[in-house]
Amino acid sequence: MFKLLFLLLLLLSNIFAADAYIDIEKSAVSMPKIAVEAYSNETVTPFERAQLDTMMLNDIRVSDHFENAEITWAKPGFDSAVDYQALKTQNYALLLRYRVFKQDSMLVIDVNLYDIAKSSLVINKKFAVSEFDKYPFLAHKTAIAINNYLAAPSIDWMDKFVIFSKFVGNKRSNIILGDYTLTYQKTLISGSYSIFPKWAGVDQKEFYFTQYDPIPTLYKFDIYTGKKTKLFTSQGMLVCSDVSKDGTKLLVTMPGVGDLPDIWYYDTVTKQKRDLTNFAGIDVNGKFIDGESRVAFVSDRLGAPTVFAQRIADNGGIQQLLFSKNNTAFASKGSKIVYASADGPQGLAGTGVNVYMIDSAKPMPVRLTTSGFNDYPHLSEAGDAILFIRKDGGKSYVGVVRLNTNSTFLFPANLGAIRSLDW
Amino acid sequence: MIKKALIGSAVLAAIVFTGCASKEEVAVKPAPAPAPAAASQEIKVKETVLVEEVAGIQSVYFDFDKFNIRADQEGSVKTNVTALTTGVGAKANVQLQGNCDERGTQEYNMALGLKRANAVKAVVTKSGVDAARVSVVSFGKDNQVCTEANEACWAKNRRVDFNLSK
Repeated sequence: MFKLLFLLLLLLSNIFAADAYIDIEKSAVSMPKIAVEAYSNETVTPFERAQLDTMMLNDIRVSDHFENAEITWAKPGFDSAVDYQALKTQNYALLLRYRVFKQDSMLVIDVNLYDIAKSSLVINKKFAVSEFDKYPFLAHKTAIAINNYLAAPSIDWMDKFVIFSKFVGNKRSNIILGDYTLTYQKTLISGSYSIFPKWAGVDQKEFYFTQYDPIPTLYKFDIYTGKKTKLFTSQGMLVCSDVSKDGTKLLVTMPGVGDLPDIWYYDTVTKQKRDLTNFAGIDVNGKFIDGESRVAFVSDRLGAPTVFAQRIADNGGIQQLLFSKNNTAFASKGSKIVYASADGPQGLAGTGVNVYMIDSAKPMPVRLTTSGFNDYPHLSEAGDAILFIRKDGGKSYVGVVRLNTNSTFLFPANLGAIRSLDW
Repeated sequence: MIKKALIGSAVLAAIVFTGCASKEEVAVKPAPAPAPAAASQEIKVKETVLVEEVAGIQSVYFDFDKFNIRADQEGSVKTNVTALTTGVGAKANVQLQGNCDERGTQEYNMALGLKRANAVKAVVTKSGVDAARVSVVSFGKDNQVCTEANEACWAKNRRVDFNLSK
């Protein structure tokens, strides 16, 4: 018991930290309390239990509905009667009981949620994964189930995959699948120079990526079957930077007339491409915005990387969206745009890069991070959560900003050199 | 019931994540199957064969976030043109590989590396090397010769390499 407690405390002390969240004030409403009882049997090692417990508490914290969730070490038993009166006396709103065990080569979690005020069992679910490494998803699904019971704004993004490319050596890069904390990581493509993975649809069944064969070639990869489908090649460079909601249109950066890197609009049904930008400098990283009627992209047409937008239908109406320099990494969802910017006098050579957010209708930037080098910002499907990567003092973190609750959470992670990421 | 649901879901689609419940069926999003053998046996990056007999080939270096050829690099370009228009070099194909330092996004650096390669290609072809022999590619910041985080090191990475093949 003490060994398990020690392991859990050790993991907690290293795995979780909270970032100050500036420019948006956090409301001072007191939050309800949740009691957590965790059980397991001999099929799960103490270390495995500690990992799962830590992830469970982290997810409950990131869901941001409760005050100081902690594992309750008193163990009346998973199937024992709940002492509602005692929990009421201690001002608990909910009791989460879960037990984890291995069965038939699966890691299984039983989840019971009790509403103390109603004195009743309100959730009884069971989730399973095929191997222990996927344990974070058991915690994510449990947190989502609790969130749904509370009818709170969706946190379904916890269960979404992150896909990223990681530099492993000169002209070599792997493509890796992960959960939103990047605790779970599985290499899907290795032994080649494979970069720029981009989900092909919201169902996250397939993704596009570029592989040098040795000419840059765009492929689509099915993560369930491993099937790889070639789309087309391009001399020089090739990046799929965004996919339309219905999955039929791509925004691609590749050389156009005069070998200039431009943003192209590619129809996967007709196989037709159309050059959206035709600038003598650099245009990259096109993203759909405003109901896919416009494209936002990074261009150096003002001398430093800055985000512009224009209409897709007629390539007209070009407009500078951001009025700062060196904002090269950005992502969009609806009218919201998040971007990383180094606004110090030394630009990218300066001492920090921060994540900002604007609405394309009201481009007044809000700064979301305060320190370190923060990059690869991505918005959740609903646009109310932002994932980013921080490097600070030789350490790496996965950051999550909850816009609904004005909070930021950081997961220390061993990430290596991430080159591109999609959520 | 639990076992039945587990076996059923495992058989159904050989998916990685499976949801089942004793009292309530939970529709759990299927997740990726273990990467098939084909996925981890990707084609290796094909390196072109260097024509080692062509002496004097030099990399061309650039300023931060720039793709114009500096005055102090014109000599290197001229030397390379000479190597590509005489002797063994006159029969070689050349791939101009654009590279960048570690700062900025990979997307932007890919484009910047391509602009650098194209800037060199423009001069090389104008100087008498057949354009059909010259191709370009960008590796962005993924082909570094120096990995320290300082200007001296970054300067070595902001370059175009001449990769020759027969």
